Amino acid sequence: MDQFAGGTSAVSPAGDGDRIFADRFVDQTQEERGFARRVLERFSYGTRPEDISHFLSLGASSAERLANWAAQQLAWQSIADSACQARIDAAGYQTLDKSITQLWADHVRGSQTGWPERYFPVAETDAARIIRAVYSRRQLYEMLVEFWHDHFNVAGWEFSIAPVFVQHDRDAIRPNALGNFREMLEAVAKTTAMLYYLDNRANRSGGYNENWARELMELHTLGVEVYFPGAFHGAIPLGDDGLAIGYSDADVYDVARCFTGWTVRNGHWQFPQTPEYDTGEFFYHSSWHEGGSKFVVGRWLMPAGQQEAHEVMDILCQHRATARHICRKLCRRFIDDEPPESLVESAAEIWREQWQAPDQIAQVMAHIINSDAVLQGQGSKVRRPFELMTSCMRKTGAEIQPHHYQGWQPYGEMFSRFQQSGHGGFRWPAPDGYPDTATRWTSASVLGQTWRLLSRLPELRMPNDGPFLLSVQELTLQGLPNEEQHTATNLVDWWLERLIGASVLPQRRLELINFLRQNAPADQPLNLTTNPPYGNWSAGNMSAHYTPVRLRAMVSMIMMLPEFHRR
Amino acid sequence: MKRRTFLKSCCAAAAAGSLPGMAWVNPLLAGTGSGQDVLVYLYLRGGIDGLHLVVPYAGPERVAYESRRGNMLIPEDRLRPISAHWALHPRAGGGPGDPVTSTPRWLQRLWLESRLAIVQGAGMPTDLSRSHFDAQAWMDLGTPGNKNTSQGWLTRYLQQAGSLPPATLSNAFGFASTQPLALMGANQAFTVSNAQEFRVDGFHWSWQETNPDLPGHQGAHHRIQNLWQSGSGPLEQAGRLAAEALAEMRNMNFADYQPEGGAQYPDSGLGTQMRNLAQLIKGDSGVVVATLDYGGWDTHEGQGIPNPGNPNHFDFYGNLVQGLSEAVDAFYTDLSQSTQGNLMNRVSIVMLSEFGRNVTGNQSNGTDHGYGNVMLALGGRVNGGFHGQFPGLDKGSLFENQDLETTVDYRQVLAEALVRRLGLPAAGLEQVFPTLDSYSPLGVFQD
Repeated sequence: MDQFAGGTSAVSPAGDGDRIFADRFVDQTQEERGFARRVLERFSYGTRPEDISHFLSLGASSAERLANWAAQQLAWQSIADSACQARIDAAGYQTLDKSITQLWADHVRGSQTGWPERYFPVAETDAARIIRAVYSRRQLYEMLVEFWHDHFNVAGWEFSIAPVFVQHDRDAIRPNALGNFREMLEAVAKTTAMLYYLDNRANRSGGYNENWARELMELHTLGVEVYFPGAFHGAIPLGDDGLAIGYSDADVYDVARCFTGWTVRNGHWQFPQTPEYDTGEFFYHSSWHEGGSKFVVGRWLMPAGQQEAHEVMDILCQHRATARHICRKLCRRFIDDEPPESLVESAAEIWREQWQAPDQIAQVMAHIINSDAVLQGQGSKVRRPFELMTSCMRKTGAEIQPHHYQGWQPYGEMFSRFQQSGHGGFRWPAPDGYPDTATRWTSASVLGQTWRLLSRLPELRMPNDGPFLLSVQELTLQGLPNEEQHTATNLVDWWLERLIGASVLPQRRLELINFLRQNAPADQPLNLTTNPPYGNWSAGNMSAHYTPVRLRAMVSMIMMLPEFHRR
Repeated sequence: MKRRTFLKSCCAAAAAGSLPGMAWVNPLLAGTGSGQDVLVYLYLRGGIDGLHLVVPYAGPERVAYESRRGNMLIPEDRLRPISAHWALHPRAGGGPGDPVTSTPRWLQRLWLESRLAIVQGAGMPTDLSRSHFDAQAWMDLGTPGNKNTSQGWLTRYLQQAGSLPPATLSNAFGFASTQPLALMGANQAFTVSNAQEFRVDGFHWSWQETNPDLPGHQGAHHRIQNLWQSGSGPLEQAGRLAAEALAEMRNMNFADYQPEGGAQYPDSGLGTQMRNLAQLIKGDSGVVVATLDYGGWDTHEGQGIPNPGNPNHFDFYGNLVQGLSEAVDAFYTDLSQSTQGNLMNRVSIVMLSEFGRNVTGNQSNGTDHGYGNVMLALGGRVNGGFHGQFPGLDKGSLFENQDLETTVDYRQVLAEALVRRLGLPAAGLEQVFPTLDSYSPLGVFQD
């Protein structure tokens, strides 16, 4: 199962060498590089040679390097990331720094409410997340941001959510992605996007809306595994912490009652008709709050107004089921679709013990990264389309500055093809977020549409014969500077190492070489430098026919290999 | 659920036409006649103003209509009557330059042939939402009041369906850019916004398609199947299915398809999708359910009043009606006049929308979100005519004094299609529509 054991494609093209033999006798450096790559592929958006060098510089053994790398990545605020930020600044996005009141004033109430201006906040967040995935040095942090966006999913492009989406991303998810879950939960509960998406803005005394309360327990905290449909209050057994081990519809209703009055200053007709009640911000509207005591997972909550919801979140965040539910999802994201249950349990212990720690999530991630599962290379994950696209960009030295709504070439086409993969940014309609198991991402429809995107990526270029987004030609000439090096075999092996860095099945490698060489011998140099970026028509000699194009097509094909689809 | 095996059906195609792919070129060689019924779920996104499509023409409802309709009123002489009391919007039966007395075309022709059913008062009587997002989600998921259901109603049907015919690609096609909610959770469902675009077509032209003038030249996309040969894991197996699917779709050659019966598909997204779907049906691809969307109906402003006989008159709503009517008519003609026989005898189209619109026009010559609406069904085994009950335009009958009431649960029409046309045992409806109290067919479909 382990695609990354053994040497690189150049060293061991068969890829099925004797593991025991390889462990003992293969050059230690290859083994160490293989481990570094395996870790980086699993915990970042794509491994570049400089990432491996950095990893290898971090200690004397694999375990030590892993621990140091994890510590660096988890202290994400200590990683200088000004180059990535400079790219975002240079892109000229207009909405990413707007406060919620400014977003509301401009894109809900003001002069930018039409198409496409109303959608700028979500569109620019989406564009910035691609820049971050490709360029940020805080790779693990960005993966956690993506994880929490799935966990606390809102339909970003929905009419009422799009104009305020920036707040959800910037003020709730990003500050807490490696921090404290309880804090993130409360921040999420108060974003205008979530208050609209799960309808809590309309949840009021005498007019309950249970949507948020139900998903809060089913998806965000306890998990549907401990849902006891139809159970009465008191019917669910108590755990050793004195809390009921699960929840029922009765709990959902009482949690909904606790959250009554958590709403948005959206100019509702029952609010005072003054401007400060139409700012788009969260507020607690006490006259909408349902009085009386509530009973939640085995505990009585006395009437306490806004405080009741805080107590509910405290209870849910220290609950054993929440720890298991979220740690299982984290392990699924980073280890395997079916993660080892012992790791889930040990991570959940830390989650629960540290539920009030400001770096709770980082501590749990440190445990998962330094686990035996990672050290021993267990598990296998299939890249989702977003990871495929951003990995291609990272590994090919892409120069990108994505924009929605700025024409077809190149980003209109890029987004169009990417969205057809079914993984467009912030477009999942249901509150459970994009799925994280291979079966969902390996249907014929998804794979076909993803390859359609990958076949295009190396050809996308800026308008008016501007630069290509991916630097295939440049990297090739840097890596193989002499023309006599440009044999089909060399080019294929160089790009296999660059993009996959592990063995691929020999017949696949041969297929790539045969396509690239055409009628030339595999060890005869190809002409990449005449008339770039396309080359020349050559009717009688296919090996000279549009050769730089053929090189880019070959690079696309590597991106479509099964070995590239795993991380 | 069972994953379809493309390889198996590949062999079937080879048996039918000597070479895989040949079967798609010549319709005479295809159509081995699985006999499987097909249900087409055509969603009119945005909330179509049903009262502008099926309009009171005479009688007490016309009186009420004239008193309440305001600036959205269509005069009698601009309508195409289809019964003593009801008429169609003129663009459902003719172009902008055609007088209402011209030979009926499109939907009006199909009505005259008793192939078009009009269900009055359709919608969600159990739940109210005037949010497009919520109402569409509720309907597509088949769970009014709950948009967090993890599977679409068609997904649950596919799970209940028992034995489905072997599929070249899939039993379920979603013609959309992202997986439609009605098929949510159906891993085997196939999502394409345009069948011509389901191909790896991003390489530069010089290495994209095989150039027959160049000896040895081969399009890059031909290599994909080879790249996924070997390897036995689930990923490799899935990849081989995808590569097969891509090859099959190329073989179908959607671009060069010749419709039959003189059918003329409009040059539009819907027209292309319906043409692709007709080809899939004729090719015995195993398609059982298909979803399509036709949007633009959210006419808050400048909805438009028809002025038939005046080719230069701009009518936003009328243009949409004609676009819809032409596309479904072409689809009907193409399949019903097929050399394989009248294939519309096993194809049913259901057309619906998330809600109707306010009875009275607004200040912007448009209409705002309302409630009850019409729902349409079309097919060779559809009982043409009116169904359901018009909820009434008199003051006492209106919902919240402004909208048509809902008298028919849209799920009853879908449920009837599943039971009577797709052969789902009525007991299976409990899974497909878990919150539908009881099954009461209206008689829209023949058994």
